Parts: sequence; C-alpha cells; structure tokens
Amino acid sequence: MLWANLIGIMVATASTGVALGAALGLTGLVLLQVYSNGATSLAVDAIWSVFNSFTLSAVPLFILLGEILLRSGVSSRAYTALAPVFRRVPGGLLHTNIAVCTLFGAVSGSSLSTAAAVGSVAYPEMTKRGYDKDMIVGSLAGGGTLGLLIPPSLSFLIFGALTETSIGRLFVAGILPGLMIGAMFMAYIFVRSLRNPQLAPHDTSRQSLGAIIVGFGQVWPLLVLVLAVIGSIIGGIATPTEAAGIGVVLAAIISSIWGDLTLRKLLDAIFHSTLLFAAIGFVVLGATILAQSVSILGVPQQILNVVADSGLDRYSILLIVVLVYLILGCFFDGLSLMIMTLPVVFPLLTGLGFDPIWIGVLITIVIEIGQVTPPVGLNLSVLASLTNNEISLGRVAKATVPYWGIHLFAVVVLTAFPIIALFLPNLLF
Amino acid sequence: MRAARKYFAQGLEVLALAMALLASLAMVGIVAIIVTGVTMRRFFNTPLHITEDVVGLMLSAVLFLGLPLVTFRSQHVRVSIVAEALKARFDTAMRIAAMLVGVLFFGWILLESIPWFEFAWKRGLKTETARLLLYPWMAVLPLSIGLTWVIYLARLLGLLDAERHGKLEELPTIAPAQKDG
Amino acid sequence: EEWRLNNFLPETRPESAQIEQFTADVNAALADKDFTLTHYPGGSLGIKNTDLLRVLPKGAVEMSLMWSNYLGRDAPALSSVFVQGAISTVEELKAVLPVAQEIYTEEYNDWGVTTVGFVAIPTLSVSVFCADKPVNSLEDLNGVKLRVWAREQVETFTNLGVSAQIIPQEETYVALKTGVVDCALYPALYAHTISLQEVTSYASFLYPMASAPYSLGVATDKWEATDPEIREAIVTAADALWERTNQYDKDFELELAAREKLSEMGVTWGEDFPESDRALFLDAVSETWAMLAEEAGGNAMDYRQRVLTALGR
Ligand code: NA
Ligand code: NA
Repeated sequence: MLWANLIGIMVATASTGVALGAALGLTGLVLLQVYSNGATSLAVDAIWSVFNSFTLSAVPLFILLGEILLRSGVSSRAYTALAPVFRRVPGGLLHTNIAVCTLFGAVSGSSLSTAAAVGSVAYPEMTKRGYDKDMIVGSLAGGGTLGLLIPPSLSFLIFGALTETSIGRLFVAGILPGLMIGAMFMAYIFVRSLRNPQLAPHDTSRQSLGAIIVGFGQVWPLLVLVLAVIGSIIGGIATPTEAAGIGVVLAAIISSIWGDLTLRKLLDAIFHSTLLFAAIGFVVLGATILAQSVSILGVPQQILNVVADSGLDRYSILLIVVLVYLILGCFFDGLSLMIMTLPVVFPLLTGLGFDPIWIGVLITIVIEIGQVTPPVGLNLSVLASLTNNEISLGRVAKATVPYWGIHLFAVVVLTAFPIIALFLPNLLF
Repeated sequence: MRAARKYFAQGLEVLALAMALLASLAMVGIVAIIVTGVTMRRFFNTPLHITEDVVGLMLSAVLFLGLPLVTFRSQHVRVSIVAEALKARFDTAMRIAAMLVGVLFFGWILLESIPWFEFAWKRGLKTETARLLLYPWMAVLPLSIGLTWVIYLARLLGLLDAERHGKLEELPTIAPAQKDG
Repeated sequence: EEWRLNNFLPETRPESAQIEQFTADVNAALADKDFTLTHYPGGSLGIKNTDLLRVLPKGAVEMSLMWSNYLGRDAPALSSVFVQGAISTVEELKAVLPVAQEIYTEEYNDWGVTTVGFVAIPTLSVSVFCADKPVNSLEDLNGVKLRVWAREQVETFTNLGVSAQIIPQEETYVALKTGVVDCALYPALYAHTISLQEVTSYASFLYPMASAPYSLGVATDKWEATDPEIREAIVTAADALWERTNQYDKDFELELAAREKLSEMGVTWGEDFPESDRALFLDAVSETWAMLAEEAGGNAMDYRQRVLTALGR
C-alpha cells in the first residue's frame, strides 16, 4: 500500500512537468501525513539539517571553480590544446571526461561534486566542439560516480564507522575497482565512437608535432590548479571539503593571470553557480523529504529482513540484495540508502561468508548505481541543471543507461573475482 | 489592470533577484571563511571554531535565497517526458496541474516553517559550537519559500506569464547574457 | 501494534546488543499481546539525533534512544548537566546518576517525552592519539593541532593554551592521515571504529570520562494511551537493561584490552599525562562547566548546582 501510494503520487506529480524537487517533496509530505501520524513538521527539520552541512558545501564551490575556468577561457584553451592529442582515438575528448573524473575522485569525496565540477567545464567546451550531447552527459553522469570509489570517499568513511571495518583497507580496496570501471567506461566510449564516428568529431586541423607540444603549454595552468588542490589535501593544508574553497581562490588567481578573468566575469560566475546550486539543491531538498518519509517507517529494513530469513544460498541472496538496491535506487540517493540498509545488509552478507571490505566496495558500487537511477538520481539532476535543462532529466537518464549497465557488470566481475577489490588491501595492510 | 500586472511581475522579479544576490554573497562568504580558517590554522595555529557552523548556515542561505529566482526563471530540474508527450492536447491542463503541485508543496512547507521558525525565535536557539543566534539565518527559509509560493500562485492565477523553459544560450547573468569564449 | 525503537548507535556497539536484548525481553513478555517492538540500530530510520526533541513528541517514531549531549541546540540546559571530564571516578558517577536521571526525566517531560528507561555508558579513558610524535604533557600539546569532538573540549583546551578544533568523526581519519591535525582526542575503547590505529602511531592517556546515560523516550501522550500491561513490560525490561549496563567493574579491564589490541596494530602507548597536568585540566574543565551553565541560562544553573551538591563539591 505504501509503495502503491509512493509510486502513484510521485509519478502523478512529477509527470506534470513541475520542478522535480516539488514533486518529490510533496510525495514525501503526503506519506508523512498518512503514515507517520501527521508528522509533516519533520520535513522542515530534515531539509534544514541536510543543508546545514559543511561537507555539502564542496558541491557549489566546485561548480564555482568550474565556472571560473570556463568564463576566463582557461578551460577552453586547455581543451583546444588537448584535442589534437586525441585526434586518432575514437571517442576523442570524451575519454578526458572519464580520466578527469577519476583524477577528480582523488580530490572529492562525493560523486555529486565530481559530476558538478567536471561537468560544469566539460559540457560547454565539448558541445562547442561538436560532440554528441547525449554522449557527453552520459559520460559525465557515469564518470561522476567514480568520486565515491576513488579515495577519499564519503561512502567508505561512513561504511567504515558503521561496521567497524578498516577505513584504510576500504580506501585502498576502492582503487582497482574504480580504475577498472573507469577503463570499462573508456572501452565503451571507444567502441561506440568507432561504430558511429559522428558522436565524437575528429579534429580536422592538421598540426605538426611541434605545434602540438607548443599548444600543450596551454594546459599547464589547469594542471597547476589540479596539482595544487590535490597537494593541499595530501600536504595536510586542507581537508577535502576545505580544498574546494582553496581551489576556488586558486582558480580565480590562475584565471586572472593566465586567462582573461575580469571582475565582471567573476561576478557572473558566482551568480550563475549560485543559481545552479539552488536548482540542484532543490532536487536534494525534495529527495530528502521523500527519503525521510520512507526511512522513518523502516520499510527497506523490513524488505531486507525478509531476504535474510529466506534461507536461500549465498549467491541467490546476493543477487536479491543487489536487486533490492536497484529498486530502492529509484527512490533514494546514495548515502541515505546506505545508512538505511547497512544494519541489515552487513550482518546478512558477512554471515554468508563475504569479506567485509569486499562488501564495502560492493555497496559503494550499488549506491553509485542509485546516483544514476531516475527519478531520484542526483548525478542526473546535476547534469540536467548544468545544461540548463537543454538535456532533460529523462534524456540524461537514457544517455547514462550504458554506464549504469557497466556498473552492474562490474558487480558481476567483482563477485566472480573478489581479489580485484582485495588484492591491494591484502598487499598493503 | 495591465500596468498593475506588469508592476506586480517586476516587483516579484526584483525581490527574487535581490534574494539571489544575497545568496551569491553567502557563496562568497563560504569561500572567504574557509580560506581564512585554513590560513589561521596553518600559519597562525589558531583554528577558527566557527567555520563549520557558519559554512552550514551560509550554505542553507545559498540554497533558499537562490530558490525564488530559479523558480521565476523556470530553471528547475524537471521530468518533461510526459508533459511533452501530452502537450498537443492537454497543454493547459498539464500546466495548471504543475502549478498546482508547486502551490501545494510550497504552501505546505511554508505552513510548517512558520511554527518551526517561531520556535527558534522565541527560545533564542543558537548553533552548538559557534553559539550564533539561529533565527536570523532560519528566517531565510520561510521568506524564500513564501516568495516561491507566491510565484507559483501568481502563475496559477494568471498574474504571471506561464513558465518558459530557457535554453543554455541564455546563461543567466546578473545583466542580460553576454557572449564570451 | 508495532513500535519502532530508533537507535542512533552503530549495530556493532555493545550498547546496541543490550538494547537488542531489551527488545527481545519486551517481546517475550508480551508474546500473547498484539504488540511488537522492533529495534532499528545504526540510525537507519534516518532521524538526526539532534532533532529528537522535535521528532519524538510528534509520534513519528514510537520510542527512541536519546542522549542529552546531542540535544543542546534545542535544550541548551541539557548540555551543562554533565561536562566532560568533570566527573571522573565511578564513585562520583554513582553519586551523580540519580540526580542526572531526575533532571533528564524532568526536562524531557517538559518536551512531551516520557522517559521509560536508561542505558548506562561505560566509564571511558580519553587519550591523545598522535600521528608523528609521542605527546604526553600539556607542554607537548602546545603548538600541536588537536582534534576534539565537542565544544566543551574546545573551551577547556583553549583555556589551557592548546589549539583544539572540532573535526567531524567522518573527517578525522583523513585529517590525521594528511596532517590537517596532528593529534586527536579519542577513547581507546572506540578508536578502532574510525581506524585510528592506521593514522596514528602514539597514544597517551589524558583523562577519565564518565558520561551521562542514554535515555529511552516515548511521546507522553502515546505513553499515557498505552495499555498498562504493555507499559509494565517495557518498564520491567528497561529496569533490567539499566541493571545490566550500570556496571563499571570491567571498564578498566576492557580499556587495557583495547590498548593492548591497538598496540598490536602499531600504536605505541606512552606514559600517561602527569598528575599535575591532569589537575590543570580539571581546573580548566570546572571553569568551562561554570561558563557553559551561565551561557545556557534557564534551568542550567540549577542543574549544575544539583549535580555539584550530589558530588559534595
Ligand atoms: Na573520492
Ligand atoms: Na537514485
């Protein structure tokens, strides 16, 4: 009954084409009213707590950082310089989306800020260069999920604290699967573009090797910025969240020295990123109310308890658990899904003999899948926002399906070869 | 009547814009306080104790104060697939339904947020670490939600033009768009 | 009828096992009634523990574990009943507990929450864990960036000239790993939960800490409308829960075992902080306590006085 109501109200409200946040939020309010003794006041407390968050501040800051690079022309020159390098590779600059997301994953702890940071620069630069828009947004929404697998990672930190498993081992365990998934993404882009070269136009300008090398000099301001941000974390100057703030200041400095950042452009960048964050944040707000209305009923735990008591063999149970996550992924986003389900799933899977660290990697991948499952898939909303709804949420979701599938394939591979996750932690600890 | 309608629309936009400018200011504030905090800790060994509290409050301010203008300019993320499909036959009905959902949601939250704000105000609640008075910050929620509700209501009643979904080329800037790059 | 019991502690904590036992006791006693109590550990109901005084009276969840120290935003007076480090021995703790339980019951009553039971927290030993060099005196702590977890600690250490900073639990690991902070204050008993042994090499004991007990609350109107037989069963099981947890004989043993285990994983235990430093620390704590109570206003001064009287100070 609850699910019928949830799905019914959500579908009915969202399909009017109203702001998604309002549809999700209204659904949540109705559920609170009906199933939680009219405790709709929880909605306001929940949204206030979720934005009263230091960690979440990285999201608008990384958007701002991207806007500054974009408007000052620094990113444009870097892409122009990079284009000839990828001339002969099917997929061209699309591969940089995956590579940069992987690199960025080492800076940011969440997939939301990874998608926001890389997307705010890559989308406009690559559309300008004639790349297929669906390919661009798909690769960005998919690539953004790498932010959770590559350390530092918010999901591993929370998983570690809730299950008393080693955070160091979890961090290290995420690296190979993260690189593996990144490589699969690139392979997919390669094959797709090989079969349909229109998706990634070839750079037709012929340049000598010398010109390419000279042109490459345009990339280094960006490189300096990335190294400085990573360096500020590794060097112990800033926490990953603070690094976003440091990055903004550095981006402004670098862009006014090596780009043409003017005060006017800086103000525009700030204003635009504020509105972008408000648009993305409103989806988060609605999703928070919805998540609160369902999580307080303990429904996901009840479903998983049924699975736990089913007496099936370990791989059947694993399969059902993954399926449950895929379904819940439609209604919830990453971390709230993890906190809701972990108290049942972790003892269940460890009881069946799965390695705790491996479970951490598995759960991180399935909640990443939730990040790109509509309608409550925040990576998708970020991308739809970054394109100013030129690419609608539904179109972003469709474009991301292959990456969704690759994640699922990665789950199969990891189940068959757990060593991919466990090799490095066993080696280093 | 037409003039009154125009002034009303302009008034709403100016209010929304003013709030969005405050939101931008809060964004600058977040950067400023983080950088100050890092500098103080690293070079003067005196960490700021208020960073976390203040950043959290400012982040709420960025979101809520930005909301009315995002709504006014119809830049929300939305599911357009069904509405597009039914556009030919039920365009008006769908638009009314959408505005109705907006009015209901923001109205409901507005109703909930008034006692929520009152509670913090009367008790003089403060943040845990920095001991900052909460209600001036919390006031942004009912104010912004209220203005957003008025925008949806005005659209529903036809006092404002219907939503027009923009294109990327119309990148929002403080002033009319300028082409660069 | 089903009641949900919200527990913000991770399932792996010993307290959670005790609460699970409590749930089983209630359900066994009411086997022939149409009533079940379901335990949701790990914060899996999605309720922020700082919001509990708002959520619980609304009846959105039937029963919840509550901890006064998390509720300071809504009820400032609560955060100055027990100030960290002010109560250090088991004798002092036992003297204070009845008063504290009385205070919590009264205060929660004012919020429309009936206290149906308590869960005691073991006495803990708080140590300074450092990444690169052993630190076991206040002098050593000067110039060191120290991670703490509560505002009262910031005040106390600032008084002692130590630059302390609150870093959230989930950021502590990375902050220590990269050197954003050099040392972290943490009880050895729980250090492994955030993998502290992987990012620090040295530890020294600084102060013992007795904590305010957790309370089990139910919305008062809900409680009053509940079948007396059910209430009886809940209160009986809660009394047993209190009896089981209000034991401190094994605490020191567990602490030593935890240190031993951390040593095996590479943490070198240094000398304790000297007695003289601990005396300075206690003075600073007293000052913080007075300051917090004054700042909170309302009932806070009265609460502090009652606790002081119980302590015979
Ligand atoms: Na990461
Ligand atoms: Na999702």
